[in-house]
Amino acid sequence: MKKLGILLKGIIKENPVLVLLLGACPTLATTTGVISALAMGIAATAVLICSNIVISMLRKVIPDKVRIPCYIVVIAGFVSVVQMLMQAYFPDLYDMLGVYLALIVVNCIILGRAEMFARKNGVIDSALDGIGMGLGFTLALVAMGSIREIIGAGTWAGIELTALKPYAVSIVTAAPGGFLVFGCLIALVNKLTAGKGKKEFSCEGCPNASSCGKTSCESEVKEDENK
Amino acid sequence: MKENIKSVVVLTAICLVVAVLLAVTNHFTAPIIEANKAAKASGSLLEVMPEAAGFENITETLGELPATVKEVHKETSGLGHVMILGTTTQFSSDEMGITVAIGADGKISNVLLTGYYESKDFGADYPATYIGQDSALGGVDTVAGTTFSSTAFKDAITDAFNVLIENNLVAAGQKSEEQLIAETMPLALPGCVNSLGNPVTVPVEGVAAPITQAFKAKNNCGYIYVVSTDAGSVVVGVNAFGVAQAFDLEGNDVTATAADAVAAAVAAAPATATANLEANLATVTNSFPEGAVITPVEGLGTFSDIAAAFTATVGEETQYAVITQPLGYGDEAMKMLVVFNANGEVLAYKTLSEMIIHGEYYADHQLTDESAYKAQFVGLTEATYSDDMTLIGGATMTANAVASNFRSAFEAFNLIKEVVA
Repeated sequence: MKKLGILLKGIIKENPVLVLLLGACPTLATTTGVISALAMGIAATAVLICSNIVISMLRKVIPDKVRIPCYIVVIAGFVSVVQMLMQAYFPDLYDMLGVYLALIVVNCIILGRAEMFARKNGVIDSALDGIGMGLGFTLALVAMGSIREIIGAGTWAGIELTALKPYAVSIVTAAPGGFLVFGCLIALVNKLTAGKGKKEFSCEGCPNASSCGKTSCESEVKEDENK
Repeated sequence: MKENIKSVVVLTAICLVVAVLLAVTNHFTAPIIEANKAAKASGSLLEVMPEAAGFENITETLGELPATVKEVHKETSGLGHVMILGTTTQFSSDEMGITVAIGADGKISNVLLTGYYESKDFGADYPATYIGQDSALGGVDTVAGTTFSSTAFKDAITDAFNVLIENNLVAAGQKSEEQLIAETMPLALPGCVNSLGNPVTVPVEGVAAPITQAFKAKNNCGYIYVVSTDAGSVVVGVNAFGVAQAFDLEGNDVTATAADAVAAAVAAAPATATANLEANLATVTNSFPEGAVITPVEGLGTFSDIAAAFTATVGEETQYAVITQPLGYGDEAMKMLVVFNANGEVLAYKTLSEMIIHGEYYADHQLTDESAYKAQFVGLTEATYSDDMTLIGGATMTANAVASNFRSAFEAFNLIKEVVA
């Protein structure tokens, strides 16, 4: 049951894009169409699962001091592998994603999950977390991509929706429309979860926790106020 | 210390493992990626030569290429070459893109228009007329109404053939006599040639041996005759003053050696200057003060767009009047008059037809001050005149006609001085 919880939390309750607000850059950039959104989601999910597994396996070997460089090397390695595979077998998708494929290396979701989850949990749990978070990321991207493509271009995955085509609002596929749809989706998820997400947004998951020394960000604020 | 060493060792080990993983992936994907890239690059090439086994880009090996020839690809199994061409006309700043496949037999096997930004379409069927043609391009013509675009297309294809022929990659096609005559006509009577290099003539019916074909210049600057001789056909240009020059089909001047042909042509040619004398005389008379004595000049040996020339005695002074008929917009002749004083200075410049021939392309264009434009030429001599002064923005062909008029007029002035002297 616990394992199912790990898998499912990433989809809505701790959705990386819409609740944890991670990876906004690729989200906005690649959701102009469903196909590119789906491709980005799958590529990021593959990297997320692999890096979570490897980092979890190496969690007792990697010294604390060099853990971030180690994570980056592992993630960059997997991203390069995915990149090469896509370039070889899905050249059209590779061209469509362009620079954003390489930028998965610095995608906060992947580094975030490595730091927050994989380094503290077992291989299976980490893999499930990777799958869940990857699914959440992909679903969020596909939802956003669908909304933007349908409203903005009158098509879905390249299929022309003749009834909607004449009413296409092209700004939705442009950057401002991206932010607008992003905001609306965040609001919707907030409404659905009644603001109960962000459970892991505490010192425990904070990359600065070891150097910060505070028990929570709130106590830091209070201390500041007392001064 | 121990911890530091461990950090270095672990990080190095991870880097090494990742490097090995990447090397293995690269080993398997690199050939596929290379194949994908090659397939993408040869996509448009394959479109025109679908049976090709592969292509090798030989552009760099061919030395300097004409600006229109962008890329030359050799089909690896010897089927021929595919060339990517780009050409511009005066109607669009964007290049017309052409991909042409020329087989090993020197004939065009396929041609594809990859970019077309001209304001008028020359028709989807036009490029297809090139299929099966060799470098002589005997079976293709330009399209009336889109002369510039279709001429640019034809010229680009000619450039492509020239590159292959110069590099001994295909044999040159044999040009028909008809083509050779068409190519020799501009040499025989340059005055009837428009800015694209094509003679603008009307065929004359009812010719007698040894003349086989006859053409009248649309701008009245003379006649062109094709005369049959023992040494083959000769193209004779007879100017408005009845003076002739002859060229063989290789473009050599044979005026001296083909005297019979020249004589036959001169005998057949009505001297257009004389034929139109009355009208031209009236035009010129109106341009001089009353009492001026106007005499037509005869036997002027220029083959430009001169239609008539006169000397005028105004009091004590002798002046010279030249009527030119350069070809302007739509290949329409634009009649112009230039009057010189004895020192070769322009005393007057008049246009005897409408200055700007309004056409679709220039619908918005008007010369804002036509009289000021014309006045700038008064007082100039051959030394002070420059073609740049004739420029009219948006009316290139009219401006070209004005420039042609002045070049012809200055040349005629020099000749008249000789003839009169």
